[in-house]
Amino acid sequence: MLATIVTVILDAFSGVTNPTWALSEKDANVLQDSVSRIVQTQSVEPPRLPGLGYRGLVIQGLDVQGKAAEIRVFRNWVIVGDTTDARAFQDKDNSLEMWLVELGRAQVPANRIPDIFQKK
Amino acid sequence: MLRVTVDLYSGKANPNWTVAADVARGLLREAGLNRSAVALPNDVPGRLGYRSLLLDVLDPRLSRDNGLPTRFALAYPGAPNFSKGMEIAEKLLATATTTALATFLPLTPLLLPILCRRQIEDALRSLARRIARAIASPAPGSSATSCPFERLPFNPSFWNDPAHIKDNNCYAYATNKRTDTFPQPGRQAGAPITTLDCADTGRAARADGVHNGGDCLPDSEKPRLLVALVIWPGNDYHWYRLHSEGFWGHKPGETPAVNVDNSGAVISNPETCDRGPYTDFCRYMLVPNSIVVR
Repeated sequence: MLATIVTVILDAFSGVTNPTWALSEKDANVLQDSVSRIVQTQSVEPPRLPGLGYRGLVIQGLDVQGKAAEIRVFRNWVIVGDTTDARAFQDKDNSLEMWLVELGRAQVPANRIPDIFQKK
Repeated sequence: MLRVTVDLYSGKANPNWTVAADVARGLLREAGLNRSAVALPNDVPGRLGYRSLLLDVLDPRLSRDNGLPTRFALAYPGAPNFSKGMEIAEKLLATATTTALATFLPLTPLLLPILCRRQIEDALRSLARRIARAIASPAPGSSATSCPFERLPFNPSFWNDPAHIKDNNCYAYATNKRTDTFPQPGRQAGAPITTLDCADTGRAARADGVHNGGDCLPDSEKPRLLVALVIWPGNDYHWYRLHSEGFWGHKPGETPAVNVDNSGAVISNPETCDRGPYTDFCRYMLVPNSIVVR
């Protein structure tokens, strides 16, 4: 069971603040299990993130291999650590990002979700 | 006597040489008769690459006799009488010494004695090409506004300090106010953005005291910063600021302040750089030093 509240930041904007939401305990535990499995796999080259525009979902409050770590989910990459010491892993079917965005839709006003994720 | 400096480099020392008094007298007379070809060094637009020829008149009587400052620039892009400036510059370049020209070549001083005529000529041609390129490309910001403005140096470490990086956004960067409040246009003035488009974001910024590019600010507001506003329609706004090095810098939200666009290219023009989803270029604006943002 996680000791801290797990929050997700949709990191996309430059001027306005990024949408942020907290996960329920159940969702946080599901996320922790998923991340713990993914970081057991072979690490890959981290992607180059854009400066402007969508840069992924930043998750705070999770543990990675026993240590608190900030995790970024960007497309089908899961990136642990900051830019100078980042390790990246593949989320092959991109399900983690899509799941987290759906959780965000339930808590964030629709006009705060970037248009790249807007439902048609 | 006269010292000539080619104001070209940002990192290493610029080539320079001295011109004997008898030659200097004639060229200074010519410069004095054509003041529209001459400017004070601080009035020459900052840019990467060739900027101007800088002349230091080492005998104050020579500058006084010709009505010139003891230090001035000529042959700079954007000069009112650029062609006369280039005429004088060509005569000055003809007096350049081997030592000065060697700074164009990747040689150490030990190799200077064996420089051949061909290498000297190549160095002169290299300088001429650089100046020709400078003529072809206008100084950054020159088409953005006819109002005076100032450029501050690019200082990313100030903005990327871990204690401040996450609390300052593009608007903080553009206005050069590290408030740690993630400031929003119009919030300080009680007139925040209601619609994320060019018109309303510009309105909110003007409520804070930002001016449209054609609405000049007085000298009392120095440094007056030239900035550019762009919009990700319906989603967000973003700002760029012009620096003294000749490029534009920006800070995308909580991420580090940089001088490159989404393709990794140094930003020479915010209208044409890779802005990702910020597809709408709104306008250039001017930021007064006295602005308060929150």
